Amino acid sequence: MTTQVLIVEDDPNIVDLIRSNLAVRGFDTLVSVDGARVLSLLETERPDMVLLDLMLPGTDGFELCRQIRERSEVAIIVVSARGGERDKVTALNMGADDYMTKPFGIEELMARILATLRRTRPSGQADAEEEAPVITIGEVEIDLGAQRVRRAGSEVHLTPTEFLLLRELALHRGKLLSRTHLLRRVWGHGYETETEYVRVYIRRLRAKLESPDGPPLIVTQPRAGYRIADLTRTNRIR
Amino acid sequence: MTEPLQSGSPAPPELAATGLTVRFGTLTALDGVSLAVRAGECVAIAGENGSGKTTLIRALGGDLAPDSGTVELEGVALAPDPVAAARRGMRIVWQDLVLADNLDIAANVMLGNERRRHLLFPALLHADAARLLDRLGIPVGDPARPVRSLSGGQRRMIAVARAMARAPRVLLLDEPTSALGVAEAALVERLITRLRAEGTTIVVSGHDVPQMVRLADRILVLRHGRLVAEADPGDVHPDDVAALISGQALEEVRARREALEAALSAQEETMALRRARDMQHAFLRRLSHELRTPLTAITGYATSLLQPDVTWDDETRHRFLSRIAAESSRLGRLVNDLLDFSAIEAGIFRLSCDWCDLPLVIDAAVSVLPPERAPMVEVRAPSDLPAVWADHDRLEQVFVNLLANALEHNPPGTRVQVSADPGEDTVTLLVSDDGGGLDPELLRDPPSAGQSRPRGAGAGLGLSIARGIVAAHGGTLELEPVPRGTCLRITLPVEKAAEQEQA
Repeated sequence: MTTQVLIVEDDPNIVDLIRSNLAVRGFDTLVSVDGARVLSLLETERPDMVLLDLMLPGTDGFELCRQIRERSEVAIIVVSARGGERDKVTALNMGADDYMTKPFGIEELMARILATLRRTRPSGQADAEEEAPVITIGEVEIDLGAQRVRRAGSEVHLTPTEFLLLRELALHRGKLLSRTHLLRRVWGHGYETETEYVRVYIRRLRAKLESPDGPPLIVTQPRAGYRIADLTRTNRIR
Repeated sequence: MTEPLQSGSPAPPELAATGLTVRFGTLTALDGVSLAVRAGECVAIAGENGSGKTTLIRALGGDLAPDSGTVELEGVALAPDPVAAARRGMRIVWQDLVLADNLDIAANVMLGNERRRHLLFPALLHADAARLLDRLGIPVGDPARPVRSLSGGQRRMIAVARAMARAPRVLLLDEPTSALGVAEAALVERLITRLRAEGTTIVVSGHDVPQMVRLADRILVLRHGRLVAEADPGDVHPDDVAALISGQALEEVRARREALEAALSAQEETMALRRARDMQHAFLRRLSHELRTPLTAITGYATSLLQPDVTWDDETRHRFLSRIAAESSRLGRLVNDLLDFSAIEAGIFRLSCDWCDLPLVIDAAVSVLPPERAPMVEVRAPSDLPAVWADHDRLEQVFVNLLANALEHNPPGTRVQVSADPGEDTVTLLVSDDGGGLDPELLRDPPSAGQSRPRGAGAGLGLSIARGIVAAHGGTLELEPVPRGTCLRITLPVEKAAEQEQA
């Protein structure tokens, strides 16, 4: 099955550029020059990825991103002429998986597309599962084989990237992991400087897995990185 | 204060202040002032210089944080922040007003009230300013006149017009007629009377008691920073109010006034700077977007061709290269526009003039347009059109600009007409289209992150440059009001050959 990418972009040059480069690598492409058709295309065509320009005529790009994420798990890469950190964090918070700033080199865009697809379409990561199919930390249960997470017995829905990040932390329980390490392991090569990505996703994991009055699941070590708490041991000491 | 006879909970007053106290060092400028202004009411604050009138206006308008006390607009607390206050519909017209002397009337009226269309089409800014001035009955003549040519009273009225441009909820006027002659003061008073009749809620400070009696629903008397009396203009004699106002040592008045003036002028400078910075910021943001668009295409196509692991067919390679060439020229045009614009702004724009045949100039401009668009342009020029003393290339640039604008901002199939008419000592040229008028996208405020943008809007320099070129020829470029589509009128002077030879 070929991978299908929906390009949402109103600049004909950018459309031609991305479409040619995807086609030459064997991808299928769909194009929407405005935001109006995106949600229906998503339903009828079921693309694997959306490349979304934030500034489309008559459309609030952030809002469109949020609406796509609300309806679908599709990989979203935002391609924007605005390079501010705030826009990047907003886009990630609205559900984007990656953020590219214009102008961009085509090799970087292709590398990001491949890395994002790899991350968001999890395919049998069989290496660690045999050793520890289920990891339990406090009230959180991580089933690496089934890629499922339960908290206090009830299932918690994680996006693929959230799951990969939690898995990486859980496999190194109690060990301090630097942001660069997490970026390289979860997002892939080329992402080492995108430290906001880790921050945004750690915040999401905390919101989904920690209870406001309970002990922290993920501990921030300022300027160093993160580690997952070793809650079973703490409980025993108490 | 006595409550009017009514049942249930009364609506909160439009503007209310409770226990306002403001100190500047050891000086208590306002001392526990409370007041309430109903919607549509005009309240006058009377007091001598240094009694705290300006401080009260500033505190009411959120321009100053009181040491204690609160200000409420429609029952909701107002933060001491002039921008937030303005957003909630509070407008202040200052005594020492901040008009920008290097701008014309229209630009001053719309300063801080600009819409996106004004940045793209300066002629619209003039049209909107003229409409507002006309609605308010402000007689200042041509809005393209520089404000430094205006009288004191006219400058006051321009400042009031600026405050009225966004239909404020409450208008605060700080001594609007101070230092004006009798006739000028009467003009400003007539304007305030008119705003009051339209239902604007007004707080006006001053010391012209007879004027306040004519203008206000109530007069509040301020002395030494305290409210000492409230007078109903219907049953009080101006002399009684004057008596309430006066009565303090001259030395103290002067000291208070000087302290207040120093505080106020520093604040005004900051405000003017902030406004200028905001405009500059919006312009740079738009410009960087316009530069980035061709740059993105060039970078993208070039890096596509450079990839070692991809082989492109001949057709694709040729397409990529021609796009790179096209986008590079677009980038070049943008840079040229920027250079022209800054030359016009700096007043160092040079023309190389010769006798020009206008139909030839227009034909040359049409031939530059994309071949599929050129047939949409219809030129009507009489054979007896006089030659003009002008820079052929620059005039051609003006027409290319206007024609490309008309074709780009309208749906395909829109026809554009250029007509020329000789007059007494001018030639009038009209560039009009029958499109849907201006693209509604262009009528919006500048878009923020993630919002829409119009396509091909350019950096918004095109019309400014066209206007600058026409002005350098001693002519004018204006928006002509038409029921449908857009029409721009260029007027160029026709000089007699003899005069020209003398020059």
